[in-house]
Amino acid sequence: MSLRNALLLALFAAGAVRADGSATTLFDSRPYVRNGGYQESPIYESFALTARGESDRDAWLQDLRVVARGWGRLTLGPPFDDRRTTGRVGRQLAVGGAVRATQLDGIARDGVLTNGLGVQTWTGVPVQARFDHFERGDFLGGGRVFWRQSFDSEVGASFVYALRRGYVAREDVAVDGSWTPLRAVTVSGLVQWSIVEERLAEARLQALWQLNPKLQLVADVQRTAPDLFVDRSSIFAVFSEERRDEVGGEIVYRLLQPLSLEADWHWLKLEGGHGHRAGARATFRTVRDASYGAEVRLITEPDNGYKLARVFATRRLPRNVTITVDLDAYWLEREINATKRSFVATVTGGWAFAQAWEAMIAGSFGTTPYFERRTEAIARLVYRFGLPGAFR
Amino acid sequence: MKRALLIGGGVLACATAATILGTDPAGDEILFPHARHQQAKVECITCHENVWDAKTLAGDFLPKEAKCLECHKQKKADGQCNFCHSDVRYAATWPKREPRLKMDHSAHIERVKEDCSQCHSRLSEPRHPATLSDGHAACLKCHDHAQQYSDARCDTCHVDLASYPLVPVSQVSHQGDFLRRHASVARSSQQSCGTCHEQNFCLDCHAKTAMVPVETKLVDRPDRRFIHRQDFLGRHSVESRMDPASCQRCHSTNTCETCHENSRVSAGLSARDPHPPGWSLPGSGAFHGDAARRNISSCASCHDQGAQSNCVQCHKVGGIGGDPHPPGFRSRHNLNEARSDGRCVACHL
Repeated sequence: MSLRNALLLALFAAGAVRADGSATTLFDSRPYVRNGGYQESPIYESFALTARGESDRDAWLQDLRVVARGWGRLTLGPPFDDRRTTGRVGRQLAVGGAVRATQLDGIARDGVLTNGLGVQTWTGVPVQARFDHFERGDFLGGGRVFWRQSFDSEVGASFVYALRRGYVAREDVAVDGSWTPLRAVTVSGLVQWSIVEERLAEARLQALWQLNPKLQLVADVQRTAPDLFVDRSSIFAVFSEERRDEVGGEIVYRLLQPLSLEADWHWLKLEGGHGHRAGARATFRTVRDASYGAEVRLITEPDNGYKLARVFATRRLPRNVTITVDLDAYWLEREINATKRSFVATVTGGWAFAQAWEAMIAGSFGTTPYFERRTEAIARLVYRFGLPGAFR
Repeated sequence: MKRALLIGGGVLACATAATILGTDPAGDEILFPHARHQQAKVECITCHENVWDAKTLAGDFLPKEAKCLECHKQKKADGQCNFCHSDVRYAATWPKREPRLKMDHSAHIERVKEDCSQCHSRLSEPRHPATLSDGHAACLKCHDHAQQYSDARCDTCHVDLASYPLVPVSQVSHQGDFLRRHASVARSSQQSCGTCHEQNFCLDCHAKTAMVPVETKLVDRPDRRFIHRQDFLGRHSVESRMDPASCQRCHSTNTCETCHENSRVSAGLSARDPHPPGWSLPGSGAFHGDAARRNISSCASCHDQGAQSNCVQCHKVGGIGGDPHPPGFRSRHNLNEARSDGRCVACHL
């Protein structure tokens, strides 16, 4: 019996744990371009479990969480409502300030210490993406100090230091903040500075204003140095100093309760010219979980771009059956394999055939620049469960 | 062939769309007109007796059929099933609801003098479902939860926020293109995000070792704004040119390199050169030096092999390619640094 199972059983025996989870089996047959192109048909099995203590008698148990993605959470100190710090050990996601969102195997600790003043710290080995290999000399460490006035207003200063093969991959500092001066207005921003290159790596400012329940406006501006996102240990880190600017906004208007209209536009300044990123989307949702939508998008760059149009629909039918359709087409400015057009249609059918079970099959077909005929089949089986004795 | 496929696909998609649009609404609904029962002076307790003494919401508070039949017995005897059921073929009981609030009715009933409308001002009508209560407004009329609200201690009243089907439309609004905007908020409000989202939620997208892309796992959610939806492969060169940093946040250049190598678009592996004419001619308009200055990530996606990179041959000290460093590089990095840094040795022998 694994340590985790033993721990959970002990907690269930105490009647103090709530646990929820799901097991997902997924079959996906789709064409791949690798090695000359072939139809790959793997089957995946994924398992997720979240367990947490909820006993009123044993307050210390309230702060134990076990999540079966390979990491757990143990809060030390008083019960949840008064919790101060949280510690995590194992594979996890470090989020906040300069660290961006980085998956690592290691230790993290965060929490408010006093009067809204808190710290976050991370240390470990960055998780490598598929196809990459762990190498000696990989390390990530960092921390963030923050002051939290309320749950929607916070400012922080952070530092991250990463090694790859023993060489500095990133060494950045950042200040960030999110401020809600009025209930209808939220301003957030971040400035990140590369210590190694003595240059601005990233800066962004975003303001959101909800004029009324029907209308939301967003304005944002950002500057990035894309070359600073290339690992500093790469030989390509010394070849260029790029700058990319983006400014634009977004509007969301709920014309009627079920009808939402959204539009966004951004002007881009890239090395070698400028471009646009824009889109519009209408979504109609009925009270019975059905939704219908249409979307158009446009991206222009100095030397390429595309136009995209799609319609989609979701509808619940009797007997817990849900079907969806998604039609997606785009037109490239420059040809790939002598083709500019792509069209893909995806149809899915889901059936919650028992209390905790759900099955879904999907068929996708179309023609794209890489595949004259593209077919994909996906089958998914989900089992959502609560462990015995764990349900309320 | 392509045309036949397009026509076939279009027909199938239209047929599916017609099915979706033309089918009756899902499931049976029990048609209970609250307003008519109120007019008839039927007290709430008559049907919702159990809730009076309930300390939690984990109970059965909706009336059984027998309770309805106390008054409407004749309708059933006459076979008028549609008097109560919207879809008699699939006649069902009340749908089961998971309790999502910590609410002690027994402690509230006396305080509101048995006036349920203090919290439940809008009641459902046939075909017009209503929210069960007036939400925050109902609670905050009497309770001052300012401190809990400020500290985001939603657990004081709410159970399992992560299971809520809706996203916030105010206070950290998730409306519109929140997917692209969420980084700004999340990087300075990690704990606030954690109020509703466990890391399992974030890792569906941010896990470098995820089982499959989230677009595949949740292919039945066309309403979600996923990055790699449908034929992203054909668009990825445009998207990566538009915002290379966005790609690099999740994918290292090794990811690109491996895939390009396996799909044989890398130079040397492909029968045809993926670079445009004039790639090696300075001033040609497609000169590789200019392209590299504009989008170095694109070069790195195939050629990042450290000292074995093919750039080294020409651009090493004394090579025919000359100094590849951008203006200003020398002001920050000197030759002594180059001699002591193992990465520089590839060119600075």
